[in-house]
Parts: sequence; C-alpha cells; structure tokens
Amino acid sequence: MSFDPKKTDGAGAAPVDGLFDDGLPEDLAALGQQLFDDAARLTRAYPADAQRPARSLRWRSVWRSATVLRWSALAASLLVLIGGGMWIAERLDKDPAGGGPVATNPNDAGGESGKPTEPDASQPDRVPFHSIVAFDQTQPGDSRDRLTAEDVLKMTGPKLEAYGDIRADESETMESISF
Amino acid sequence: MDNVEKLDINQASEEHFARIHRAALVMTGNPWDADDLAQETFLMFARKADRFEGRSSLYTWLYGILLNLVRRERRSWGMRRDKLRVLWDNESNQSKNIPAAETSIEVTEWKRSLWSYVARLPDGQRDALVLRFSEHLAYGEIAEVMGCPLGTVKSRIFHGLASLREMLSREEADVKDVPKYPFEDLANVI
Repeated sequence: MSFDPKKTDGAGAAPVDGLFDDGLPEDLAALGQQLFDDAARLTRAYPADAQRPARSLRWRSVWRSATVLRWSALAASLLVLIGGGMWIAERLDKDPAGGGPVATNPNDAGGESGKPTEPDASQPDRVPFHSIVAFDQTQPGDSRDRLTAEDVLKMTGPKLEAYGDIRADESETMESISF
Repeated sequence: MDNVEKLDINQASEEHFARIHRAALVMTGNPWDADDLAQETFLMFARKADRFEGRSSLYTWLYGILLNLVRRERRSWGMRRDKLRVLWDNESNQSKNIPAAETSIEVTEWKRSLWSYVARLPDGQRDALVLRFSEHLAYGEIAEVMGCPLGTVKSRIFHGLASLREMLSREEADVKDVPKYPFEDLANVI
C-alpha cells in the first residue's frame, strides 16, 4: 500500500489537524493522521460489543457455581458411603456381644442351658451375621464359609444389601440362639 | 482504596470496552481475536481488580493488561505463523497471486489499512503507535502504560513512523518493478 497523506478517507473520523504534529516531521505527522483514520475505519467496520465481558463473567460465575455443586454432591456421596460402610462394620463387630441371635455351632455350648434355643420371635429382623459368616471357623464342604468379614466390608452398597437379603432368608432355616 | 471499592466490571466495560476493543483490533487485524483479547482484558481486570491502586487511570491500567495479553498471544502465534509460512512457501507462485475464493472481507479490510504494516514493527514501536494514533493517548499516559520514560516513548513513535514510511516506500518500489503487462513480455520472449 502506498502512502499518500491526501488519501485518508476519514469517513466519519473527526478531523484532527495538527494533533499529531508535535515535534514530528510533516510527513510523519501525516502518516500518524492516516493511522488514526484507518483505526476509525476499522472500528466502524467491526464495532465492539460492550456487553460481552459482563455476559462472559455471568456465565463463568454460573459455571463455577455448577462446578462447586457437582463437587459438593460427589463429596457428600463419598462421605455417606464411607460413613455407611463404617457403621455396618461397627455393627458387624458388635453383634456377638450385643446378644443378637447367633446360630448354633457344633463347638459352641449353645446358651446357658447348653441347648440350642429357638430364635426370639420378638426380634424377627435381626440377622445372625456371625452365624452366616464363619470368620475363621471354616466348615469343610461349604464354600460360602470362606467369606470373611473383610470380604463383607469390601462389598459396595447394592452387593451388601443383596447379601443381607440372602442371609436373612437363609437365617429362617438356620438354628440360632438369642440371649 | 476507595477507587478499588468503586470498581465494577459492568460499569468499566461500558465505559472502556470500546477503546480496548479498538486497540486490540488494530493490533491483531481481525475482529475475532480482538473480541477475545478485549474480553480477556476485562476478565483479567475482574480477577485482579484488587491490585489496582488508583495511582493511574483505569483505562491506562486496562491498556497495560491488553498489551501484556497481546505480547503473550504473539508469542504463541509465532510458532503457528512459522508453520504457515512453510506451507505458504511450498505453494506455487501462481496460487499466491490468485486470491482465494474464501478470502474474507475482514482480511481485505485489514490489508488495506496501515495497521497491517504497524503489526510488523517491534513490540515497543508498535505499542507506542497504537496508543498514540489509535487510542490518542498523551505521551505521558503512554509512558505510564508502557512503563518507560517519556523520551523513550517519543523515540519509539518517531522511529516507528520512520520504519513505517520505509516499509511503504520499499513496497512501492517493488510494485513499480513488476512489468505492467506481463503477457507482452512473454510474447517478446516467444
């Protein structure tokens, strides 16, 4: 593009005579004037959208809030899962001392009378976990007895629930002792 | 710190977005990059508003942010530009002379302006010319934005304009060297 000081189209641009001649040679000042006009022309061709930063900030804020919510929900779920797991583990540990119905074991004395007692009908919902899970007392021929407390603790929610249901059904057919 | 408390992104963008966008436009040459850079300037402003101490005008501070962003972008563009240049050099001369059908009006508009030549100048000269002739800042304000003495600003503006004049003269000379009727020359050879 050749430089022609007279060529400035300056459509709409305010005339700025003498504006850029501060100490500059005449030709350079004219060049500066042409730069000014070109900038004005470009700006008219592509006007700015002044609302854009505010819109962007609003979206960014919404997105950030959504992200915080998502992470909070995830953290809460994890907390519930861990808490539930710990609660179940605690229940499992306390169950024998708690006097829940315990299935008779051939090696067990079987209550105060030395005889197996009938399950307490007043406590139908209590599941004899320790009768189901023979921790270290494996019974030969029964592969289910190899399940340990650790295995149960490793189970996730749905598996644990299914396992509990199965054992609850089985407990009806098993002898248990309640104190 | 009263100034800081009064800073509001909405108000600031209403007042200064147009001028920041204009500066970004003349520096980048296309409206998309100008939009992105101007917007990024205000997002940066929103994040770092607490650092504004009110010793300078808000718009000079915004120009400072913009210039830093443009320099950062130019560094990342450098690598892409080099790759494009390799591709361009591998093209035949004929294809270079024929404008592509999809050549956008924006590019044409940019090529017609002197700012496409300013973009080839060193950072310091380019920034000084943009702030002076596009943004119409006083020398003192330019010195404030660029963080350099007043004399340096004057020198950069002078040498920037002189380089620009030199580029234009050289290009004009190149155009004169091209035969006006290349087919006549070809006919003489045959």
